[in-house]
Amino acid sequence: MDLINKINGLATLLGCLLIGVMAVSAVEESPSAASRFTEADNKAVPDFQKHVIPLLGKLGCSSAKCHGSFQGQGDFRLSLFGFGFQKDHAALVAEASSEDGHRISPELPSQSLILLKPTKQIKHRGGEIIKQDSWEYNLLHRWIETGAKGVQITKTDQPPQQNQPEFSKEGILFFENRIRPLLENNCYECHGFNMRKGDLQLKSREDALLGGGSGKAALVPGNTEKSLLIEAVRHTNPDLQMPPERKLEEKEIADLEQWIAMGAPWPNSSDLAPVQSGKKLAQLHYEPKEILFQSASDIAQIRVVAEWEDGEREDVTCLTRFRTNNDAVAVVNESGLAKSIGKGDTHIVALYDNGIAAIPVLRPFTEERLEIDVTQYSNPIDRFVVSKLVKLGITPSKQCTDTEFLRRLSIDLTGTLPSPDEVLSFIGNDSADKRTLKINELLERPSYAAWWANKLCDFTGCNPTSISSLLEVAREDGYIKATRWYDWIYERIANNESYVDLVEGIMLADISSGVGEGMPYFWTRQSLEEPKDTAMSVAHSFLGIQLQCAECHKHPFDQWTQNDFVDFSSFFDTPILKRGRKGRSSKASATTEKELSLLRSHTVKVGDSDPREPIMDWLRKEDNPWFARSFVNRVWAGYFNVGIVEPTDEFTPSNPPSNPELLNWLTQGFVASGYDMQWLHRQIVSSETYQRGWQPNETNREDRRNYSRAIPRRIPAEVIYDAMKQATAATDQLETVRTNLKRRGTGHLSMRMAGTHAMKVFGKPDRAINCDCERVNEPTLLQSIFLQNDPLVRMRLADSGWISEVGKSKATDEADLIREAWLRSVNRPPTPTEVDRAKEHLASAQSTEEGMADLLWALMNTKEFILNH
Amino acid sequence: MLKVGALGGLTLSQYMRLQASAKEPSQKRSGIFIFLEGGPSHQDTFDLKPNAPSEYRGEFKPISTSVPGIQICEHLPELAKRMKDYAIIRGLSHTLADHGIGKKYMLTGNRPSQTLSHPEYGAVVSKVHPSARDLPSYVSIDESFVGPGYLGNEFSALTANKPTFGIPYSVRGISLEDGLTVEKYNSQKKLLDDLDTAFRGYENLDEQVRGLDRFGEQAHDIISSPTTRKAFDLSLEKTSEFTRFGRHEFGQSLLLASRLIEAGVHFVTVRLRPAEFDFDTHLDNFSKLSALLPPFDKGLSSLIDRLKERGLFRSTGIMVAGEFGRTPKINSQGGRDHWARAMFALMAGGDVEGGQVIGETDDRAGAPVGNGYSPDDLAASFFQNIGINSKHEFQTNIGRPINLVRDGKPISQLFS
Repeated sequence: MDLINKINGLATLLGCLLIGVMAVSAVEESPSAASRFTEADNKAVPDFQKHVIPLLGKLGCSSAKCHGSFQGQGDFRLSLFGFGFQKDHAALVAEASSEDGHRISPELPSQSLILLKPTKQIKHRGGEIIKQDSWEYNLLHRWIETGAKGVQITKTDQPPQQNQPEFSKEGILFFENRIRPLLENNCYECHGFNMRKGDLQLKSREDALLGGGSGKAALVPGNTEKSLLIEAVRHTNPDLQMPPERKLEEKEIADLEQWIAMGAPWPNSSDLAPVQSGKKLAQLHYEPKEILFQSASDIAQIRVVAEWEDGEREDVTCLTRFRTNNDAVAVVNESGLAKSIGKGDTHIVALYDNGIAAIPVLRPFTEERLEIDVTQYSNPIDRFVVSKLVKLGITPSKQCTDTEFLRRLSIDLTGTLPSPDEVLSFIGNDSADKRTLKINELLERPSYAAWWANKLCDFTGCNPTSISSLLEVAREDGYIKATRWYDWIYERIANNESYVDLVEGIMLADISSGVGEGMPYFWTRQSLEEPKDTAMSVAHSFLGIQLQCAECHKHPFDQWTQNDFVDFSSFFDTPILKRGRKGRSSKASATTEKELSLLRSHTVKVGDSDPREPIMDWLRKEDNPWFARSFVNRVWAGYFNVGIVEPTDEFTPSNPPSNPELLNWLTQGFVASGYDMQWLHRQIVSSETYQRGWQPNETNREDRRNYSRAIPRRIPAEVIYDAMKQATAATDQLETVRTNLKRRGTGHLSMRMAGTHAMKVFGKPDRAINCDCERVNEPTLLQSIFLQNDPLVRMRLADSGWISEVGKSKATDEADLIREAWLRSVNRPPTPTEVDRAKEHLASAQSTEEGMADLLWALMNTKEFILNH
Repeated sequence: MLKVGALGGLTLSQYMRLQASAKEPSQKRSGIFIFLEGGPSHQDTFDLKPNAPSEYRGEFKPISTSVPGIQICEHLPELAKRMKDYAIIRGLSHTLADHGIGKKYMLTGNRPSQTLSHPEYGAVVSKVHPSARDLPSYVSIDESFVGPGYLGNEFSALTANKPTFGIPYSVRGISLEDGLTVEKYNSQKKLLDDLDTAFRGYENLDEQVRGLDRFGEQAHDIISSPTTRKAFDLSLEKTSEFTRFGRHEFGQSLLLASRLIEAGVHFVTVRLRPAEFDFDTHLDNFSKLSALLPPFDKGLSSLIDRLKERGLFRSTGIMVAGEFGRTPKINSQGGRDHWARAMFALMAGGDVEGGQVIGETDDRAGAPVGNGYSPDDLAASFFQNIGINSKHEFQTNIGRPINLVRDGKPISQLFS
């Protein structure tokens, strides 16, 4: 503890006081806030956006546990993770609800609650946060002293002004303190953000004036009796009682009435969805660009410089939040001092305003400087991977054996175990290019298209219960539709159509007709009730992005703000997608041309036409930052267990790729190939990287994210199901079991078996939520119970066609049977020791059949069977 | 760490370290959640309105209970006698009057969300309060509906099919069937151990390998464990016990639940499928309830009695609820439809002070008087009663911190 304190102290010195020494920037740079506000009587003027809000974030004031919670501790609410500048400013200048006084007292700054509370001069449930003579204190003090100004919104950033009367400050405060919380707590679940039950939205004054499906205004300023809102909350009309769960308190109703009588003051509508910042952060610079540690407890100070759009630069290290992506490799304290903990590599993430910097940190596994010439590799994948391994001091594992390769490739590429004959002919083949030929052969098999169609169904959310109506009787309809969805993708993969065309078939599907050129069910899922649900689903399926956090607050570790969320959701707020959904009446979708930002990568104008078209155009752009990249990464993760970006649906600046060069090359290659999926698969599985053995050497035991060896991983749910069927099948049934899509877990049964006991136990995703984490390939207790004793497993053995063949044909040599058991399950011939042990067991068994059944049971329970290795 | 895998915030190795160091909770508690599928009518069971107009009030008469002033339905005579043993919560209220989402809400205590799957009660217990090694922590009779959600598959229920009176009972994955003996199973396991050599010497290299070894051993322990086998072996019960719980599958399931708790399983959910025990009474509400309530009355009363006899009542929290209540007004087919604005729940065991009614509905049982209670409040109370902090912070699989029960506070009146 002591040591950490010392380091902290040292870091503060380094990070915030000696910054002048470290500064080497060409552009003149403002010194850090910590150095400028060290003295109480300084003359600097703090800026709300640049200093105050980041400081409140860094001190934890706007965290979810404190004032960032939706209730706001002590009635004082800040926007979570800070990006609602207007709202936060209003909250800071508002009077406190208790009798403690003002949060801010411009006349007597030191008596402001925001200084008295965190210094614990008066009671503060959050305890003491800052000291009275600290730079943090001085900064806040000085901000109040200089007028506690908020953020100036420039004209161009402001949304088009509605005709809205000016309201008094009292009116606005009344709204902020009494009405907004009331609306948020009671109404927004159904009428806020992008929700609009009964066509009514209450997120701005304009929305409320417009009213909902009834055609009457919810709000008639100055007239409580005509305001439908009041009628609803009074619960006098039996058909209109809001909120439905409970009647509001009399006091709350009185507040609403008073507010309407006041003329319904409501600050500019731009306040609710936080407007763009007053100033725009152009870039967050950091140094060092990369941290290379040599031994435990090495330290490195990170320095962060904000560059604003107007060219201003400032050292913001002391206002930046830092965190590590892996605390087993490195930690970082609040001053930006990174410390080595273990070997390996990760990133330290720095967050300031909406800028994010991820600084690579690396400590080699060995001290040796490895002499590996990467130009020896013909496949660029190997060059990129090994270049990184050299940095880490890792020697990659040796090539895997032929039987390992064949089993691994068959599972990964086709979701199927190789057949005994296939194994034997592969190991008997001496040609040098047999692996390449096998890859080509498997890519042409229907099982390849089946397995990857199943994967694409995962990514796109093909869920039978979501595309039928909710009624139980409609379940069959759901299966049929889900199967069409699967078949539609299957055909395209089997014909090796380009990935971007496949996605276009989904993106631009005409939802008024059935399945044809396009795949409409993606859009007609029940789970996409609101435009925002569609937005989240599109972002997840085709961009590998999780937008959900930004629905209610700024994403804590990403750049997304509520604005981005609202903008992206607006694309899907279109009559074209409303068939089958309860739509808003036409008045709201009047044809105004909106300019919308596509997740800040591109801006497009959207008018009357199908708004999915500009999105598709954007996906097709070669420089789209996510579209090809996220797919390439998901495919990669299918082969290596971890994505280059991991989790695979978390493409955020705070979660950078473990090997950016590799991901870039694969992405560019994929785009250049015309989004040729076979090119991508072939490129990956042909690499030496993919064909490495799982056995570690002295240098790479601990490596799990740099692909220096194969990581054993549990075979997926559907594959286990099919594999057991295959291992026990009668000889003449073997090929049917391997190829008949209708009867395979990776084929049509995929839809029908979703949610069954076996599939739940092995973590087959329901495809019900937007998360790649829905598929679980981790071992669990229930899986082991299942494998050892589930009736399904016991039944497979009891009904095994092969076991009954064994009983019938007495002539067969015992050793042949034993070999066959190994080839069927673990897909290699047994070793002499294994043959001996098997013979011993057969000798003790009551019959050969029973003995063989035991043997097959045991083999199907080995790790070698359950794992892909 | 940003990547937290599928184990609800922990890598397997971290999880194992935690498991190894986890201390026994100071208060040893178990829980039973009895879920009445379909949405039981509240106004015909525990919240009667004898003074409402006949189209609301229905056919059933109230009867007095052992607690003066509290009345319940005439078809619940045994529970009326035991009123001191449980509390009735009236005026429980939410807004999701659809089976799917209503069930998710009630089975997790959190409003269902598009972006996050909340865990069911038993999965939470399984995570924070695991049972002994040779016992499952959480058993679900019959199949569970929600699953472990963001906690990860590791904490899924062991599914036990419902027992049927007169038919020998066996559990999927646990019972040895078709003449398989423990000896034979052990010899198979011995063969497996001898053949499972591919990763020998590398047992601790990767999480998957380590996990399979650990769970494989534990599965064998459970399947071959005398404790577990006995807990599930209903044939060890006396005939009088089967009769006491009632021959209905509901009573038999509660008998099994009791055996499991007695053996040391920490959580049991009893949720029979609608085909067997359907409270979704859109048609003929009263004749259906006349058939449903007696087995319910008998089964639950016997469960309370048995846990008391065995000294386990004060260490076992029991909750009874469905997904919602039913419409105040009787429909044209003599049924009642979905109604989430008012419903009931029962709480017993643990620290619950029995013999009280908490909350109230209006004179037609249509809505709570005052704010009422939410499923979240109910969840917070139940968790408290089984020794789990309802504000416990978990990490979801995308590293998002989340409180176990996001909204809702324990209902303090419930507890003595």
